[in-house]
Formats: sequence, structure tokens, C-alpha cells
Amino acid sequence: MARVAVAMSGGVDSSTAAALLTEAGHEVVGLTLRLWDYSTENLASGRGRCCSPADIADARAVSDRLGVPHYVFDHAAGFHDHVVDPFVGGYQEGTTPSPCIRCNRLVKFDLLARLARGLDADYLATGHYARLGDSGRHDSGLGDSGRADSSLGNSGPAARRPQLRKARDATKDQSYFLFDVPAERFAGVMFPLGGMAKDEVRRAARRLDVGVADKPESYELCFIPDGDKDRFLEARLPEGEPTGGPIRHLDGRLLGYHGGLHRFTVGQRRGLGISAAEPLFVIELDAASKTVVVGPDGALDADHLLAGRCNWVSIEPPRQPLRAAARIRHRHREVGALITPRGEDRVRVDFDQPQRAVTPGQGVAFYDGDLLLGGGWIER
Amino acid sequence: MSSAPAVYLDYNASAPLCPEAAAAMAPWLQPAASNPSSVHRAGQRARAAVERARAAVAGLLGCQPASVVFTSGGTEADNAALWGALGWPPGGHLLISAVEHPAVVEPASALGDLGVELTAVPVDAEARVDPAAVRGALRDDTRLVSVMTANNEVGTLQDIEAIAAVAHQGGALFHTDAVQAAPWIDLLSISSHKLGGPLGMGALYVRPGLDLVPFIRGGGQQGGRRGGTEATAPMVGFAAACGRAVEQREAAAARVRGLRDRMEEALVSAIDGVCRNGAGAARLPNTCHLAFARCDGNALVARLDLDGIAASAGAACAGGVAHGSAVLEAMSVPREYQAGALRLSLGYETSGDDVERAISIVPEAVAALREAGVAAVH
Repeated sequence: MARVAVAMSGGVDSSTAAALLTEAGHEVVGLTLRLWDYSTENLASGRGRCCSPADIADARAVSDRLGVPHYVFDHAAGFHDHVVDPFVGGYQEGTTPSPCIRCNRLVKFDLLARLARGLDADYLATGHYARLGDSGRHDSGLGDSGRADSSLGNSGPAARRPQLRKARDATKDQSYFLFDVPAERFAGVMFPLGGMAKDEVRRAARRLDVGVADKPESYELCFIPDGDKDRFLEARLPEGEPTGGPIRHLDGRLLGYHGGLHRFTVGQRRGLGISAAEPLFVIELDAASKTVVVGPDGALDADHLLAGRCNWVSIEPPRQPLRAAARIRHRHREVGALITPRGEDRVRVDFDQPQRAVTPGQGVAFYDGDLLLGGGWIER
Repeated sequence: MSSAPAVYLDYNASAPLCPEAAAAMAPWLQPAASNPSSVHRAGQRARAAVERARAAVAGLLGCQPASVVFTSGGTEADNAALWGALGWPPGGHLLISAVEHPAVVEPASALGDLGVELTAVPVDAEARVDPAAVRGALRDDTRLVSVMTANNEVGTLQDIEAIAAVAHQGGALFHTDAVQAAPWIDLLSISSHKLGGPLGMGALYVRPGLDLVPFIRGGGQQGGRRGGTEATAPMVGFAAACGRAVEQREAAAARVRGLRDRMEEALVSAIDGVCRNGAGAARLPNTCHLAFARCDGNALVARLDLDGIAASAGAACAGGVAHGSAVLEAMSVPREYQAGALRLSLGYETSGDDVERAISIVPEAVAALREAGVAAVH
């Protein structure tokens, strides 16, 4: 039996992953990262957010029920540097950052993988809804679909590419958030839930008595426990520097003033604080002049985008134009597109149909059916 | 857990309950009511047991039984000493060292919030407090000097006699968080579970004639010095552990020191990029504190646990997450090493085999974590 390090957040998904692996006879070692210092927050609102003290206690209680060891590592400083600072900076630059993607690349599938290897684990498992391996079979639980073909530390540069697929349950699929993880980091990774539907996971959680089966899911960003993103950002923006600027129509008219670019995202309609004859949407955020550019619905459509810092997961970096389905944000319905490489790690993506609200700072992921090919960061 | 760690080297966090304490407590854990303050015979029996326990603790401390105030543990004893000595409402000046336990630092800081002037005397690279530095920091209104007898992380022993004398010359009281008995001390905190007694029990030694403001107010128990019904079973267990310590500590200290020195020498010679902390000073015979470069201490403790060795990266703390150590910071241990701290603390039950296991396992664990690239996790 293998030793499997399981990333445990205290939520139902990762707890069930740990329980299923334990049931399958693996030697499970629970790992929890403490990524945020909640000591100054209102703890009553901290529950249900990933890695709050209550969640760490839940992860420990689940581990105790399963009879497996559990270790907590404080990574708040690293998380701040890798995820929170760029999140704040991204808003200052007029983009809409995607911190969970960065966290997967720079925290979860980096530090956790190293810790797992250092603890002599053969595999690292997480509760992500995605599938690894190339059988494509729809197993529930721990079939081939849940596991990389090699174990931790056995992937050299010559190792085969992982075959990262969407979860069987399309409504739970999280493969989009994994596009930026370097391919070699999937060596030795298991996603035990990738082949299961959400209600199957809840049923397994009850059957295995993990104790958090009815815990609500967390949707907010884990480091903003009260969900008030604007207040969070405003407490961290440079002091004394005015954040506001003009709101202009695409046609150049000055329509009013706003309190800060960080309060807006492309496609946003509400909260503009201006009145106009036609519905107006945020079309663009211009960081240099701190201008929020608004316009009619139709101006949101784009027939292409440019993406940089591309990462290729299941295929080698393409040298030629490539047909794929492009997803420009989580929960976006993919659209057929031609992906044209532009230099080292940039691409131009031409959509088959124009797409609404292409948002700089978000990721674009490329699929061939269920297979996540890779992705990049939307520049414009 | 699949299996309990076979080798326990974390005595500074807590010692296993000793058989003497378990046996002494057993009769008091039966389903029978007994408030030691009750008039009836059940109460009378409990009272007798509590007072015998008090005498046994006094025996360990080398003091009169009346000087022993039972508390819920070392933390409460420290709190009681500081709050008690600074008066009510609290005022004046309080002097502590830079390497005190949080049970002293936190109440000191709270007293500071209430207007008490607080000074922390720095330490040298071995965590030693210089009595002359204490003299220099004393003021006319210094009410209390609190310096721990032995550091819980690195084991450094302070020159308690000299520091107490300095405090007294300056007209201040002296408190120490300690197990060492000393007639020149005014206030002394001691914890049961470090001795192999039960958790949730401790004592504060209060010098005869010293009128202390009670920290826990209530029904006037223990001569009005600590309110709350006396807990017969843990008091009796604590007393039994004290009795064992009185009998065994001299021989155990020599034996444990030999084991510790052998282990420390072997580990330091087997591993590159390691420093010893506190080894240049007089220190507890049981404590070995090492710090490794390029190896995260918390990950090392996790790996050692999986390999069957229970140790700690520093002080055991709430939530099971180790943080940076204020003690190592005060000792000016280089940052790269601070993140790789490992405390191996031995006890009465530690065997030569335990130490040999540690000698064979720790170097491999450090090498594996370095190989995996698990340097400072922060």
C-alpha cells in the first residue's frame, strides 16, 4: 500500500478524499496549510472559509476519526507573497486577478508536493474535481482516472505529459483552476473525487462518517472571510495615493467619477453610479489614466484575445496554430477557437463566435473535449 | 494513528503520567463525591489527602506546605504571581527576561496595557540573563523581577540565586517559572505534567509572609489565595509525581545527561549545517536543541513522527502550528537556522535504545527533507 499525503482543508471534499483513500487501504497522512492569519478577524465569520482556525480544527477532527496523522504548516507569509500581494497589485493595474489559479501553481502544487516528498509519500492527493491519467474511464473513487501514472519524485524532464481531464461531474469541474500548474508537478498527484458526482461525494462522506458531510461549501476567497473584497483591497492599497478617476464613455464623453479601479471588472453594469439613457457596462479599465471606460452591451464583444505566460499541461507547447475549445473564465461556456502561438509563451486566440467580457487578469484555458491542454493569462 | 510513536523525546512539552501518580489518583477518580472543604467525613478524607499532597509538593520545593498554592497549572501560577505581585490596581515596574514563556510574557503585556511599566532584559547567544543587566534595569518602583529558571526551548539555566539577590537589593520581589527549589525566591511556579503528574495541575510557591493579591477569587479556599474547590485527584497525582522526583531526580539527571550528550554529539557529527543552542551555558540535563539550515523544523517534526519519534520544533503551542521562536530570535540565532529548529527533550523513562533510534533516524530525516527542497516553510 502506498503512503498518500492528502491536502486537507477541513471541507467535505478533501475530507472525503482522505476517507476514501484510507478505506482503499492506503497509508494516509493529512496535511493542512495555514495560509491566512485570522487572529485579527472576526472568527464568527471565519467558519467555512478555507484554512480558518475552525477549518483546521475540522481537518484535525476528521483525521482523528480516520485514525491518520495530520500536520499543519504555517505558510501565511508565502501565501501573502505569492497570492495576496499580486491579487492587490492586479486590481491596481486595472485587471481582475484570479488568485486560486496562482495558489494552485505557487502554493498547493509546489509546497504540498515538496512536503509530501519530504515525508516519503508516494502520492499527493487533493480534493480537486479533475481527473488524471489517460484511460478516460469514468470510475468512481480510486480508479485509474484519479491518479497520475508515476509517483512523487519519479518525473524527470523526459517523463510523459500528464493527461489532465475535466471532472466527470461537469458542474463541479475544477480543471480550469489547474491550467497554470507546471506539467511535471502532476507526477504522483491523485484526484480521488474526479470521477465522482457531488452527491456521490456527500453520500460517501456520510457512509464513511467523516463528520463534515453537511458543511456548507465555501465560495468566497479564503483570505477575505467576510466577502467584502473592496474593503479588503482598500485596506491594502498604498496610503495617500488617490485611487479614483474618471468614468468615460467609449465615445469620449466624461460621465462621472469613480472611487477606484479595483471596484470594477469588465462587463460590470451595477455600481457605476451614473445615469444614462442606455444600459452601460464596463468595457475597459485603463490603469495609466485610472479611467473606467463604459459603453453599450455590444462593445463588450471581442473576436479574439491575447494571452501570455502560457502553460501547457497535457500537450507539448504547440509550434503551429491549434484548434481547441477556449474557456475565458470559470463557469464560462467554452467556445471553439484557433490558438496561434506568438513567440515563446504567448498566444493569440481567435474565437469562432465573438465572446462577451474578455477580462484581463483572468486565465484562458484550452480544451480538447475533456482534456485540458493548457492555458494562459489574458492580457487583452 | 496507525501506531503510537515508539520513541518519546518531547518531555519538555509533557511527561507521560507516571505509574505512581496514576495509582495515587485512582481512589479519587471513583464515583464518590468529595469536596475537601465539606464538613462530612467524605470531605474530611479529601481534605487530608489534599494536605498530604501539599506537603509532598512542598517536599520537592524544599518549603513549608503552607507556602504551596495549588493552581490549574504552570500558566495559572505564572499569572497569579505576576498579577498578585503587581498589586490591585496594578502599577509600578515589572522586569522580565527576553526569553520568558508566554505564560509570563502575555500577563506581563496585559499588565503593561493597564499602566505597569514593563522592561524585558536581553539575553546573550546562549539565552543567559546577566545579573548585572538586571541590576541596571531595576528602578525604585520595580515591584517584581521574573526570570525563568530553565528555558523551555533550549534548556539554558539562569543564575537564579544571583538575579534574585539583585532584585532583593533593589527592593523588588523575585519570581521564577521553575521547578528548582530555592529558599531565596519569593514566588515560584511549577507544573504537574512536566513531572509525570496529571495535566491541569500546578502550584505557586509563595514565600511565608508575602501578602499576594489573589488571582482567582472565589470561595476563599487555600487560605484565600486561590478560589475554587480543590481538585483532590490531580493534587494527589501531582504529589505522587513530586515524590518520585525527590527520590529519583539526582540519579536520573546524571543518567539522562549522559544520554543527551551522547545523542547530541552523534547528531551534530552526522549532520552538516547544524547548530546547537544553549549548549555553551549551564542547562537542563534533558534538553537538546538543534537547528538545521535548509530544513523546515515543522516538517522535520512531522517526518520524525511518521518515523516513530515524537519531538518538537520548539515550544508546543496551541493549534499544533509552530511559529517563529522569540527565544531563538532573542539569542540571535541566524534566521536560516531558526526555521529548522528541533527540540529533543528526554525524561525519566528515556532509554539508551530510544536515543540510539534517534541517532539513526534524525540524520536521514534531515537529509530527505533537504533533498525534497523543504527549507523554511513560512
